[in-house]
Amino acid sequence: MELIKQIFPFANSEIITAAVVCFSMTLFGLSLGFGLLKVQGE
Amino acid sequence: MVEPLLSGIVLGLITVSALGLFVAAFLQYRRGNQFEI
Repeated sequence: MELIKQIFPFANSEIITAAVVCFSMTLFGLSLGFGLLKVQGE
Repeated sequence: MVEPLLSGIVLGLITVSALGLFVAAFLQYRRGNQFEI
């Protein structure tokens, strides 16, 4: 958290939570989509 | 005038996009040219 606040001085927990949720949901959506494509292709 | 939700969405999308581009570039770098051009 200190490192993040050093890079982004305006950072607070709400911004970090939104960024982590956005990052995780994107990876989850991509893996779900490509996983379902792989299942369908078999 | 910092909107926390907007800032979080922007920062999250920037990081995931940059990571995806670097992973795709690394996979092409490791596999090489498959078209032999």
